[in-house]
Amino acid sequence: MAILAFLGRRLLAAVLLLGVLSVLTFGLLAASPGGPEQVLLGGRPSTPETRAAIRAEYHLDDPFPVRYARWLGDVLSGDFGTSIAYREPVVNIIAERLPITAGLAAYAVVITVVVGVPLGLIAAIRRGGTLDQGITATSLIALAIPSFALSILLLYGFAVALGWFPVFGVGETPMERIVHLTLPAVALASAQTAIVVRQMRAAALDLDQQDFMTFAKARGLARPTVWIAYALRNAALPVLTVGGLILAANLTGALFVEQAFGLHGLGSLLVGAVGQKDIPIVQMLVLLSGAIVVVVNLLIDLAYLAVDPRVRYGAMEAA
Amino acid sequence: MTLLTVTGLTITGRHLLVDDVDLTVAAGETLGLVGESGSGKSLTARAVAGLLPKGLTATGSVLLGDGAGMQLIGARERVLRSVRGNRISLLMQDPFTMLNPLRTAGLHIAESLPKRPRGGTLREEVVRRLAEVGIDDPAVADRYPFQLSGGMRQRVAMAAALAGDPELLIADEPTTALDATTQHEILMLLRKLQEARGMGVVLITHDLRVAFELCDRVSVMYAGRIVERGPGAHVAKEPAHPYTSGLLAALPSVTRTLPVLTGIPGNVPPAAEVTEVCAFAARCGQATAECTKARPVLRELGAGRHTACLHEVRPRNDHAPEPAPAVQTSRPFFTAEPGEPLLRIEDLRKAYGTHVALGGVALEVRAGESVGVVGESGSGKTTLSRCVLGLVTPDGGRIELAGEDITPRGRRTRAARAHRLVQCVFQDPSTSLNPALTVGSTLAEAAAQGPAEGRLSVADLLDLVGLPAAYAVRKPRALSGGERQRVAIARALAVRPALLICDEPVASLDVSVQAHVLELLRGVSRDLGTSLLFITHDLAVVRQIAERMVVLFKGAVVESGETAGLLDRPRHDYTRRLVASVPPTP
Repeated sequence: MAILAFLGRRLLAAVLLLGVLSVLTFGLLAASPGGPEQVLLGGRPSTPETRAAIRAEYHLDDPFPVRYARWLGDVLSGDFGTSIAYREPVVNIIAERLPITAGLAAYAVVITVVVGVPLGLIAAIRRGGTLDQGITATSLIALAIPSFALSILLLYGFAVALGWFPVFGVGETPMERIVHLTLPAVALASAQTAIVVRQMRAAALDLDQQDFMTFAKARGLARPTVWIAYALRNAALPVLTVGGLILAANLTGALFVEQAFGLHGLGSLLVGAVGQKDIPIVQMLVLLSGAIVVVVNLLIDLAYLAVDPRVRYGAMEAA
Repeated sequence: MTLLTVTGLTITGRHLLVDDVDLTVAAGETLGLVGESGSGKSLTARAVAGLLPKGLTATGSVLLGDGAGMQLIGARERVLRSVRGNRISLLMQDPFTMLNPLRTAGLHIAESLPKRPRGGTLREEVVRRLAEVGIDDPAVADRYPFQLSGGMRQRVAMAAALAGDPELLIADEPTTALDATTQHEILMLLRKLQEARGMGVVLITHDLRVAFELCDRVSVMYAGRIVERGPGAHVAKEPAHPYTSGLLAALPSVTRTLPVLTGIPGNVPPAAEVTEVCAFAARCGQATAECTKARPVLRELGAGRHTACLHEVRPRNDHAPEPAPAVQTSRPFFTAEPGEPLLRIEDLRKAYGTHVALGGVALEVRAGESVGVVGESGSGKTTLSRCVLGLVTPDGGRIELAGEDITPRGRRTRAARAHRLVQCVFQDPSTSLNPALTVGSTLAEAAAQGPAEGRLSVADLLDLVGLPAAYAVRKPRALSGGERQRVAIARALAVRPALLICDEPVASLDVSVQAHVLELLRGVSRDLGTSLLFITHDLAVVRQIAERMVVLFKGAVVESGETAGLLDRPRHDYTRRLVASVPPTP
């Protein structure tokens, strides 16, 4: 029951946050230079009559709150308006692009966690040794290479020179999709993996000094118990937070990698829409990013509840 | 039957840390390993369990069992793991960090059982183990460590450490982080378990009184080596090494007020610097040229007694201690008619949610007087001091200092005068001093908060607390714990306060250093006219420093009066329990 109350409060906060975001987003159109009708015309020459027609069509003469309420009503019923550049409902365009970005983001997060967590843990266990130094140095390099530069390197090496991976496109079947997305996902994951390695290493280094680790060893507990139930679970909390934030960032900010690999995802859509002043698309993308960040943070909170009893009971007491 | 034979144990990291230590423990026996911080006692224990921190190596011999025994030095991790838990177990100091915060109490015990029974039997076994350590409520098995009190956690940890039925338990300061009454309970529990199981116990402690109360034999460690050993009662009565004798002299007593507290001058040297001489010679009043020629070996005195001293130790009461030098100052800090009320607290109340920290506390400190506030964790003593300092806003009541109402009320800023009238010395000088500032800048900064007229210079302040003026250029980390606390006291005195609040100022210091700091604080109250509000959990300390005292229990004053009378004839039930839990001073 207390958990539900906690969730209720979190959801309420999330809805409030999205509400504020939507006001700001809607304000984008109203505040854009040249007035909204100019934006909606997309820069084409116009007569006073066409402008008046647009003002009437979009109810631009109504006061701001009324316009916002109408827009919000549309948005809630799933109508985000029509793209100016594509002359197509915004929802359709985004529905077409989202799977590519989502696939890429999920793929990158899987790589990040599967590679980053064990490497960080190994570096911490072998602290100061050659392996640790190698892992730390490699992660520093990975952190220093921008994703677009790495994209070009990977493309040249594995797609052009070796021909192991396709250069372009996303493929048709799920298997093809995975093959096509491998290089972009690696490019996206490399710097993030480095962050997770460092986080994990720092958390586990700290752990090895902890009394409960020594006490666990002093009782002769089996090695898997010590490393999984003691070390990994306690180190997981900070890493969870970073993992969630990385996922949110990937869903909305993979545009360099998408551009480099010619993937038609949300990132390239955003770049195009901003360039063409395609305000309805920009609005929906901003709202979507906001929603993703809010939802991912909610998921992180839930994960904390599952992992850490202190948070669980703290939440119950506060409720 | 011998359980453990340690010979020539030497531990090195970047420097030598433990130097040639010999120990034996028999079944059913409690061996005390006594020493101050840095003496190497904890490392010795860790080495025996094969749990030295990374980067440290042990040489010598640690034989487990009778006869030929099993060599643990250089043993493979797999071998050590098979020994830990069911032959040797280790109990650590801090019950707040020793248990995994993500696992329940019951799971800690269950996972440590060697042959894990299934289902209902497992639950029964866990409940039985909890009952063994005095926890009769089976529901505790389902609690997480953060839901238990310190004493309960230490009991759970003990049950987990003993789950594999080890022959030997190493207890590393198992009660240091606990309240006095809890401390006593845990020590008695340890003794009971040791007798019931016929276990060997190595008890590591800095508290001589605890060691003498509980241990059959005691080994005193200093600078990484053993300087004296023998049956506990003998060592307490007739110390055969000047270091032991010095430690005993520095022990405050709960039964009498000592005219002068004598600490041991100087600091503990690093073990690596004294390998070829007597480690204690530089601080010893009896040292002769011979002491620094060669390293004295442990010589036998008969009846299982050994000492690493060449000389006969002078009896403690042989010479009357010299009176402590007065704390020098041109004029007293605060002049008021002695006996006039300085701090008056009336009906002070503060609650955090449903928890009542202070439930109507009244207290008075007169000019030039020192008043002790005694209580355990949760008694409200820290909230009280924070209210007087203006750091906590009380829910109700009144605080009056030198005739002025200084009760903190919400956001209204306190008069600057209040900060000059009252200052504070905190428990841990290693965290209360800014590590980035030199001692001189810290003191100059503090002095600048006071009035310009009669401002004390950095050199004056250092002189006041008995430190050389050259210390002004040092950073806190280049000082020892006692020296840091002196700097913290000098910082508090920099604005010439009328009232000094001391919040457990000696709780994190070693005994030999504690005496110096207590003597300094006595001088401050005697010679500078500054009143003290001395907060502590240690009855022996309060006996030495406070003329009057109050006992706080769950946010209320349960007893107050002249310190000596109160401690000799406690009236309230809780005070009686507190007094009874103090181990006797030898």
